[in-house]
Amino acid sequence: MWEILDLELIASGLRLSTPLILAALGGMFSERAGVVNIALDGIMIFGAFTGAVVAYETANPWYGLLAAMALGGLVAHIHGIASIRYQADQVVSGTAINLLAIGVPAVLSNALYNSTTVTPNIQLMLPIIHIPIISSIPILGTLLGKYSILVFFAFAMVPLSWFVIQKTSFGLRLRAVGENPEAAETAGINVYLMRYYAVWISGLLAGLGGAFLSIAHGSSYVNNISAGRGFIALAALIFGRYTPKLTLVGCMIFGIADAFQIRVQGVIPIPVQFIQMFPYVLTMIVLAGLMGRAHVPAADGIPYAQAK
Amino acid sequence: MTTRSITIIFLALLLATVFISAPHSSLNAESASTQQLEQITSDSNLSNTNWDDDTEEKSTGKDSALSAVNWDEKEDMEETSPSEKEKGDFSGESWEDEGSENESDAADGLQALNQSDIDKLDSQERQVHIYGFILFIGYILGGILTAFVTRNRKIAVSYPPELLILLHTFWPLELLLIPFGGKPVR
Repeated sequence: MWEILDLELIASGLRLSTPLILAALGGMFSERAGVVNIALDGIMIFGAFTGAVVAYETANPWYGLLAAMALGGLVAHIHGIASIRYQADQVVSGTAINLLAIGVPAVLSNALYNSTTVTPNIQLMLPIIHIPIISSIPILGTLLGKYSILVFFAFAMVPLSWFVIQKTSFGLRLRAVGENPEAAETAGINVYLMRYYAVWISGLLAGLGGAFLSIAHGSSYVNNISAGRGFIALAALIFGRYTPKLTLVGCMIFGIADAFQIRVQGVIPIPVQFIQMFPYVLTMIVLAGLMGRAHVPAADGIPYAQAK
Repeated sequence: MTTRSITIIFLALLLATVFISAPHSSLNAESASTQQLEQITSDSNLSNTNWDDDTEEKSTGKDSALSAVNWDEKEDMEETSPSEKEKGDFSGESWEDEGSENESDAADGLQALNQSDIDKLDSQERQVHIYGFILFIGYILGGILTAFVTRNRKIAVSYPPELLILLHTFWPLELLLIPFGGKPVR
């Protein structure tokens, strides 16, 4: 059993943490601006479906990637309109999108391909990048040498997100709007616009995370492809205290847990269903243990009525 | 203004739905779609396949390449006759012929694809990835740049945020509107 604890496990974990990282970073933008985005899982499913369909129809995975991002942004925008303009309960709005995500891809998939559960395999997946010198070094090569391009993109998004949030005026306004929207509006910031931007960015990234599942990690859309990863990403975000660096650590922990449960199936004498529960149980433990200690943005989840 | 923007958003969603549900040409494509159907049926993810789709096809009278062939009858007639099955003697069967047919088919397939063809396919694939990557990064950077350029222009200030987000998503449209609303207002 101990032979499964090798570098390949960590490499698989890094691969599996990619959609979590993208969705969690997206959630971070939204939560820091004061809009709870429970819809990450639903947006990932929409992104995965759109990416697979467009990549298949155009025989180009990059078009699928762009379409997945765009649709993720638009779906998140619907959540934004409900939460920001109409001040609906943000959790309810997000849950509605998750429920839509269960049904709409199945209906569209049936209409297009006569199958409610799976789309056709795409002709060309996203490329695997081999870093020339590193891939030949014994340990580093296994850990860093060979990944899909989206894996590198996701890890590059972490310092970029940190820079945008902490070091730019856009990030400062975003944080101000999430902590004290009244004070931000007094300072001349358009609170609605900043929140819309934040929710839109969260949709773009979550859509990208979903597209990874169907265009890079797999080769088609399968029903329930996200398997609750959007919620795990949210848990990783809370674990990471809404900061990019710790969120990355949280996502990697969950990714490695996911890789572990895949490898351990059939090796240890525990029913597969119990092993498959492992990442989700870990999520619950993390949420129960760390929720109280995370600094939630002060105005998170509170609808804001703009002064007239 | 708000009602108008929401109407525009709903019309855009409606158009998108119509576009997605319209008949498209890829199902009529020749070998590609047949190969895809074969891939679906031979996919190891059989548990995810909706077997009921077969009965749906029959009830709606749709034809597919696979449903047109009666696999069971053909194979039974070719492979075993009742007397041989009783004897348990399959030596007279055409297993080897079947195998050799498959082998010759595979060999023909390999010969058809010699090294230069493989290199050509690899190069085409590489081109798709390079141009696709440039397009992907270019679209993202173009969107960021467009949002930055229009942030204090009439096009961004006079439109409600809901519509502005839509414009940013499809930023080439926003660029087209700059001549009409590109005057800085603040």
